[in-house]
Amino acid sequence: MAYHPEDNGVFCATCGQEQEPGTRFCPNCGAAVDPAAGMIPQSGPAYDIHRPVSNYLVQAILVTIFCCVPTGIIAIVYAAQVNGKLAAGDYAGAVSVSSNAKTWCWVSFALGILVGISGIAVIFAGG
Amino acid sequence: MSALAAKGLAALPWPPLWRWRFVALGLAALPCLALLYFRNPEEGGIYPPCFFYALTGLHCPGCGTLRGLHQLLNGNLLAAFGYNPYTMLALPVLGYAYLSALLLTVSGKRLPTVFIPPTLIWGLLAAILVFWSLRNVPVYPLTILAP
Repeated sequence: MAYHPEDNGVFCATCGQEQEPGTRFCPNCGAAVDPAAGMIPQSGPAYDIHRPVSNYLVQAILVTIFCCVPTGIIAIVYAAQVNGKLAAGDYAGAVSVSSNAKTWCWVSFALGILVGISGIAVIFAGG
Repeated sequence: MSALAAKGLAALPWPPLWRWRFVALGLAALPCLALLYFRNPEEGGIYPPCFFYALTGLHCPGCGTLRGLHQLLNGNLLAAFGYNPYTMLALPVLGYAYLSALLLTVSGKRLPTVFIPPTLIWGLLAAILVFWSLRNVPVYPLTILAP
């Protein structure tokens, strides 16, 4: 199964139809679309096994190279778990671990920026 | 909606502003690469120091990336690997990821997606941890791994 990490769309919670950005009512079944709730695939009728799950490996590699903080390692652990669960057919587990991978990529990115800014502040204060 | 479909963008669920983030990312990288090509980070200049190194005295897995990229841009592949083999090995992967995201953004075409076996990612994790540890051991021949 080909999967596409960049897809992260809004799906109707009632019928699973993919929505154009900004749509408020599903053109397929007429139900109101909640963009916040629609972002994460839920179990139930809208559960779509063919929705791609990103492992955030590329982002994890980028933060280990450029952010100089050890937390990027945690993102790689979760990236491996995403693909492990996908290979085992555990779609719901993969989706859950994928959000952990995303979180740790952002944490590493923010930490990298924070450490960078404080480092520059120290240089200016000390110099 | 039909105008979007004509451009091949209908399949893209991203908000319109996000669709061009990869183009913007590439354009932002160009002046940085030009700077890296002409100015050697080894000779100082306006490059940021590594704060992880300043705080801990340790080399992180990304240490030597800027100096390595300078050597790579000037055609010195061996010197580039000497500064940071991890970055150099990751570059083709990152380049493919960028290219596929860019093509998807601009033309709506998809490059084949590669499913990386989980064991390979666990191996990558182990390799990074070993590389990180060994490049901080101040004993020859491990000092070769230090940037």
